[in-house]
Amino acid sequence: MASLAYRYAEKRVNVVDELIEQWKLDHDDVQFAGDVDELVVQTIELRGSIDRLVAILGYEAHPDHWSDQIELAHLVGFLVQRVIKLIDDHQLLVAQVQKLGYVVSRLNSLEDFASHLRSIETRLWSAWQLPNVRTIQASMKDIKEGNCTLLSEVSLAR
Amino acid sequence: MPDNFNIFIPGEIRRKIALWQLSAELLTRIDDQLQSRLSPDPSNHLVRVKDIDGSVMYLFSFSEPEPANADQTHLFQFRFIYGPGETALIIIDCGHILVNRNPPPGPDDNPPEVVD
Repeated sequence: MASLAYRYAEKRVNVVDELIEQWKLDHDDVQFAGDVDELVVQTIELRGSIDRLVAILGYEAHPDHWSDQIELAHLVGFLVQRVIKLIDDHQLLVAQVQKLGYVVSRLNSLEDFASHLRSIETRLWSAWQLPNVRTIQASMKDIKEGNCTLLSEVSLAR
Repeated sequence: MPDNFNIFIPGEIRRKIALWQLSAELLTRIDDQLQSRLSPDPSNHLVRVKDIDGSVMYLFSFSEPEPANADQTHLFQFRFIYGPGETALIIIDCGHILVNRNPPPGPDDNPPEVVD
């Protein structure tokens, strides 16, 4: 169930992503504000799929199937980040079109959705201990500087 | 039979694990899990997840009954990259989640304690 929900959400994100990428290339050809509005609507409608996915995953580990949950949490977390990035791109493109005089009607909904996703992102990262960028960067620095020990030569208990 | 993989731990990860404030017994069990279970046969234990850095994960759990809570389970995730020659694994991040199998009933339903 969860993986189907993920695949469905990912496919929908892919479609919007592709439309936005295409728009980046062809936006000079956008003839009607309605085209822009439609793209905003398609993006906002991702919310239902993302919310269903997060509802299936939840924010609490179950002792019997937590490892599956963590694997799903990674997928969901990165999908959420991808949509946040997609909205950022979208907003930049909308700003360009507005400069051309087009009126885009549902921009506030787009910002609300981005804010909703950021809140989900924070909760997912905290609940599921998803990759901590600061820790990874510090570890990479340690590796580069040779501040790394063979585990068999130390004890975590010390 | 191939040699065991060497597991390397950066100073940052040792500091992070110290912040979890686990018992010496539990830390010894983590040591053992990484060196006796993972190191001889990583491909059988590591999970590759869709990820920004292409790292691999090792997930394991321990139950550590305590007088106050007999159903407490510690969940661990260790994130690795392969070292040179792909015979070494280097830990680059880790996480610990404490979960109660039978939390006492309450208004908040006892969400799991998350230790970063």
